[in-house]
Amino acid sequence: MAPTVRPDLAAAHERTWTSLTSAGTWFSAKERRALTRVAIAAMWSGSAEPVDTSAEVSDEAARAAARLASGSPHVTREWYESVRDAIGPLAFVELVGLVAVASAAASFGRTLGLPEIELSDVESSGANDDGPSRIDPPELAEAKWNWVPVAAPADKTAAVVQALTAVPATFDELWSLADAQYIPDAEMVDPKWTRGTLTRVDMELIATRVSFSRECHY
Amino acid sequence: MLSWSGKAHGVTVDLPTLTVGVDHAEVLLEFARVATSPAGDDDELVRVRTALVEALGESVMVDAAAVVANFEMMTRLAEGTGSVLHNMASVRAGTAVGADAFKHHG
Repeated sequence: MAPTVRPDLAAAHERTWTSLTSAGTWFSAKERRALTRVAIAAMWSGSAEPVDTSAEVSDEAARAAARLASGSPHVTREWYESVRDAIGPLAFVELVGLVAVASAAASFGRTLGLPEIELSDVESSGANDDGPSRIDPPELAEAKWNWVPVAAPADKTAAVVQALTAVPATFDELWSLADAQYIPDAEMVDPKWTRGTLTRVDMELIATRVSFSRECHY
Repeated sequence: MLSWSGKAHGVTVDLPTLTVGVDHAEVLLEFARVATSPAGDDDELVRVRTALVEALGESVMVDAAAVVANFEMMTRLAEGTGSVLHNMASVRAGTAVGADAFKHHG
């Protein structure tokens, strides 16, 4: 029997799946669905080689999604710059955010043994199928703590917090999911905050083990 | 963050060995290890889910899965955007758990 998921967490994941299959700021709905398929396949296989996307998205974007999702991608600034030059810096920011939230959504379902989400089911349940919004970014700045451009002023907050600020919709998508999965932003400064289940020490212990598995220095 | 929260709770934390002074640390660590293994092994997942539910209850197991998912997300965010630590305490903590071996941002 499937475990009971608290309502705010279930709703956050439902929003995530809808977003992954809807148009973004720099990728169409069709492209985002293709990239989500690539990311989840790479996550389970551990392979940085993308599955066939039947030309629904550029090879450069598909290859980047597969590499980032594969688990231990060992990417370098030179790799980033080559992908950025091929797809554009703001599309790259959206791509990273998409891979990150797709990895979270897929991980959560698999860990709990929930039925696998069929992207086609999400598509038919009302996902937005328009083209990308191409909304103008905020004023951008070069950061010392990230290789991607960020909203100005740079380096006034933690690197992971400013990382997606160049694409506000992607920023909102990831951090609203983090609020439900981990700790609401306003409570981050309280080392004793809890939902009544895991303590903060328990959460940080799990976080440290996952970061070790992913070979993440940050 | 682990050291900081442990200090607030009066819990001992030894980062190099990831030994934490709470009774259920091992079952949480094993749950996180199996949940992040790339090769899907459903039997292993059933085993660690059952162990965690028996030790701490279903709602804790669900929230543990959510934290695993969150850091599957955050590690890819940090990696893909070339995020670097700007806080020396965090850098030292990374060194303590051996994470420098994985430092590869150019």
